[in-house]
Amino acid sequence: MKYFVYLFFICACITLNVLSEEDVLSDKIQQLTQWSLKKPIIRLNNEHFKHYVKASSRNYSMFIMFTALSPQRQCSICKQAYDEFQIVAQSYRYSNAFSNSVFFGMVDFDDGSDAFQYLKLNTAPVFIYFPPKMKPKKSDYMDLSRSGFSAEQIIKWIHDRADVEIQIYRPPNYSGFLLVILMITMILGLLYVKRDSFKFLFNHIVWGIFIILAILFCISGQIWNSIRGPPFTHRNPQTGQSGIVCYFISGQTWNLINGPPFMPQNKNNMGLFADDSNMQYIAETYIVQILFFLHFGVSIGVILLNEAPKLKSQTGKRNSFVAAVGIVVVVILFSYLLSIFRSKYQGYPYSFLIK
Amino acid sequence: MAAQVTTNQSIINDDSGSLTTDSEFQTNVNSKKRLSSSSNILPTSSILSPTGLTSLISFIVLTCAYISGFMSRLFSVIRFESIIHEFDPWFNYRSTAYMTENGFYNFLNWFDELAWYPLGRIVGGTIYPGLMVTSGVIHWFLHMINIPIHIREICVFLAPFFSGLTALATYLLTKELWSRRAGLFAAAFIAIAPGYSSRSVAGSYDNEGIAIFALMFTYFLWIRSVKTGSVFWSCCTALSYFYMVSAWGGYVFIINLIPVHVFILLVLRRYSLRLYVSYSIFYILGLILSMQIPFVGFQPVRTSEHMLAAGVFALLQAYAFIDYLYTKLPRADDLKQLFFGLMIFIGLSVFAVVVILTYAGYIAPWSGRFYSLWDTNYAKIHIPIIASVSEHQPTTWTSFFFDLHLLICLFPVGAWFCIKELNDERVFIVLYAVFASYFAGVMIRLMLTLTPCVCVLAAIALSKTLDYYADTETSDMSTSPVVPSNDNDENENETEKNNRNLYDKAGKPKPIPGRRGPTNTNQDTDDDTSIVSSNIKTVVVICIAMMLMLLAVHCTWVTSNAYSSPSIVLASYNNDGSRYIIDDFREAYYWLRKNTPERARVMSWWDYGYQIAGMGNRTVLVDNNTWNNSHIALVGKAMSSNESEAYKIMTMLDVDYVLVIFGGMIGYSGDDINKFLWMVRIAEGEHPKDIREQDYFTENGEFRVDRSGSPILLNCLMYKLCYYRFGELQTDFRSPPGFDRTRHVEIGNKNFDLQHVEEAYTTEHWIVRIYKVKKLANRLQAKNALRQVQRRKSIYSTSKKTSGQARKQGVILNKPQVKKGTKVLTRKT
Repeated sequence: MKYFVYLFFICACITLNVLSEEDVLSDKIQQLTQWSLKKPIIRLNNEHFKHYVKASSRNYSMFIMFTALSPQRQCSICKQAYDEFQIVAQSYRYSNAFSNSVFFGMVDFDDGSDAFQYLKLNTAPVFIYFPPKMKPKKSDYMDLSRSGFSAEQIIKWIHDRADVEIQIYRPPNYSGFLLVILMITMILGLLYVKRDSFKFLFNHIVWGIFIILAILFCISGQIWNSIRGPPFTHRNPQTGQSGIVCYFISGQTWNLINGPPFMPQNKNNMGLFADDSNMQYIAETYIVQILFFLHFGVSIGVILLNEAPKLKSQTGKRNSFVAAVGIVVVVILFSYLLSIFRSKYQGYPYSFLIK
Repeated sequence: MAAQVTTNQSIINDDSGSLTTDSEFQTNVNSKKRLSSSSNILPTSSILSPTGLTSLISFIVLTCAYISGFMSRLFSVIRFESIIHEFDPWFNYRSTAYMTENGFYNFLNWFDELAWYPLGRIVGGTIYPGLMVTSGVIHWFLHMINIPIHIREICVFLAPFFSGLTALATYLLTKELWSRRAGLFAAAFIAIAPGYSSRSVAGSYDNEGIAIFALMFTYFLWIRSVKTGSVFWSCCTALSYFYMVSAWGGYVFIINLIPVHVFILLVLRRYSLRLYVSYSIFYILGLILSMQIPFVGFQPVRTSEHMLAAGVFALLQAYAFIDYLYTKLPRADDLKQLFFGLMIFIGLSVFAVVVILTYAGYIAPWSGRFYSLWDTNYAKIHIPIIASVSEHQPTTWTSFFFDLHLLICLFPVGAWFCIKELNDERVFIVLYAVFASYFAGVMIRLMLTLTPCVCVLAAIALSKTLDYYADTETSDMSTSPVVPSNDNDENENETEKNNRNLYDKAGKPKPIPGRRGPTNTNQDTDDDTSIVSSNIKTVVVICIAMMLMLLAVHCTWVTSNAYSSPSIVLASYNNDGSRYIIDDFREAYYWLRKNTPERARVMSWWDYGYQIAGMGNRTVLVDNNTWNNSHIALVGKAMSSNESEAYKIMTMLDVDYVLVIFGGMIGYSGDDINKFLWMVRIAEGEHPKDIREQDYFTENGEFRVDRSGSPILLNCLMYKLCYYRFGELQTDFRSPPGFDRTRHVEIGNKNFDLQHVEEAYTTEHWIVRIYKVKKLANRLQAKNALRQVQRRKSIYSTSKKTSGQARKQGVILNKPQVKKGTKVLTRKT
């Protein structure tokens, strides 16, 4: 019903067709309101951009996202940013703050390359605030590299710029929920099938390995990696963040992983690595894995030591051999661990076997 | 067994003891040495009974662990003097001194006027009084037996004293979990582990110092009560828990870990009446006792952090009831599935009730600090003041290794052994290990709760390994008669189950305590022959001993170099190795104490609040008890805005003096400029219109104080107070005047004058700079008054509030001005 009223209104406006400036303005606002009622984010092409945004006679403000969504542009971040922006616009659309003075728009590079040229943009995505009657200043560009583009950050930025309070409403992500449900049903089904023998659940070895891996994960600094990862990797809290995902780690993390920041010579090394992001990624993974396995190796060595006397053999040579392997593994890996630690912690005086 | 293990250690330690020169390590080795020398007597003298001998050895080892734990924490006292360290201890010391002077009840009602001007702080209801009461009791006792000692000495030496007690508690816990030998190892480890000594060196008079003892002792009593099922032990657990609640906010860890233990035991179908008795009594008594602490109050029944314990309590009652029905009903076996379903239903309904109560508002949801443990990004976004504290950062691998060294590698092995030979109490230590390692990974501060667990499990791993490998004389039948009696005696207090196992093994040459299950019998037959050749055994023992020595050396080095700095007295070393003491902090605080009016109000960043109040005895605006974020943000705003803006805030807050910490002169990195971004961030959180973090960065997003730094940074109050007249000073012949040695740049804004403040005092090395805030100048009086009238008008005209609001104008004259400023600004931009 509402739409009809609006349509009627707009038709009336068009038929009146008075060309005074105020009427042009109200005309624009009408048009924009109508669009944004239909779709929270207004898609703008070149002409629209020129007409509604670039034109200086404007008493409304616009938040515009410049992006490149078409698949051949291969901008995976753009899609994520678009989703977040859509959440914001959606929340704004259905909030009390909705008015005809603030609009959300989007310019795709393939539709509106002129707009990109006009603003001299060569990256995407970019969020720009167009205040009423003015061109955007430097501070009206959202700083994506620092704050990331999560909906919360965008809302904070909007509140900062236009003084519009938006209560965020995220549509619940059912995919994760469904996955959990599926998992649970699968596990329950498995249990039901195996209901005669619950023994495998009480198997200490399985649980033991699981717990040991969890502990090792915690103490080998993997949590640090997953927390300090840049916002791009695990910005969506609903999908759940695992440490393995977070191997994409910023240069700073790498720097800290590799050595404390007060080491100048290490920073020079960093310069070499930072140029090539792929290199860093591989090296990062490599280092983290090594640490993980060093811990693991030392643990395995000690366990070997303890398993050695229990092995069944006639002569006992095998037991001695296993024990010897165990102690060699423990000693070598531990001294290697110590030497890594030494290289990170400058001025540490002690070492064991390996310098 | 103990004798055999230690016999081998004696050989190794005799060989290697001479290698080390470190005094601390010597005591540690000595402990083992002495233990072994006495054990050597074992085969020769038949006069000493083995029982007495084991006790004697344990006693000597524990004494040595106690002494070495105490001694290794005294580095700072020896190097500097007997002085309270850092920030928080100063407040604890101040309140302890207040309590000894004015008595306990006055202390509970104490309203501290020196803090949080103009709000003040109710101290009695906002702290955990356990620490103060403990040292107060010791003080009272010593005075009663006519030892007139100053309360400060007690405060300084309390943490080392309690770390010795922690070693004993850890020994008891490990003994309950595994064996006496593992207990001795664990006591030795915890005594010197840097992860624990970081918080308990002499002078760091903080809650954690006594809390870890209370934690370990509570765990020991809990394990004991689960094992015995006696009312006595569970009452003791509740009392010890009460002490923990009175001492540290980390008691939440206990009240969640013990219910998790009970719950997992239920899930593993290890329910027993012992468990029922011990948990029911512990929970009810612990609940009532914990609510006696004023700061805790009704939290145990009103907040989500405590709901796990309540839910498990309800579940346990239901389980016990169903279990009872199960025994009473005829043909109960047919109803097995019904009971199972009923159990699950009750569990889910308890959970649902808690959730509903939370939504209905009867139970407070998780507080921010706890929530940030689960959702690790929460604090970064919502509570910058929590994220700003360096000890709330996640832990790197390096600091794990730094704090625990060899133990961190043995830790998973111990957990593995515990899982393999599971029983009721080992479930507990495994759960402790999992949770504590997660928390320690999330927050570097919680390394402290992980350390005891690591020590226990590493000791178990090591002791189990050495049980076999140090025992080269298995084939030697001369010792075998001793062993069974020895073991029986040792396990005297352990449960029936263990004893039964030992009886099975009695007479066998190599019984392994703690191992049970059917696999045992096969191995026992194998054990008759020495399987691993004795050469390899010796090599293994030597290698382990060398690694242990390395551990002791490492721990001593870390404690002495990293954790023994009081941080209010700094030391630097000249090229010739001579030491140079930098005592600027105390100099400045003493100046404040002697040269400022008694009611003077000092503005500084919150880090220095406790120290100014404790040493300078002056009123501060904000301090380390960060209970009022907006007040801190106001100070942050004053520091990060330009001088005239800041002057408005300072006059509003009645500030007389401003104190800043500046390290650029001697290269002290912990100064206010390095902390400055956090001030900006916290101020931005409350005043997003006036302060913007971006403005303080250069175009490239860097934080610089040199010429290319952002102009807003170069003109803010903090910059000006730090670098006032610094441009005239040439610190080094090679560097230009005004060269900042902390950030290694020449500062960008050199010649400026201060309008509204004047320099009052700067310490010898410029670390502390104190400025006096000028009073309003006389000449401007008329102009100002006129302006004020105008402002009032504008308030009336712009504000939408009714006249009812205007009546209050006289009461808080200054507040509307600030608000008005923000509003007008927004409309213009």
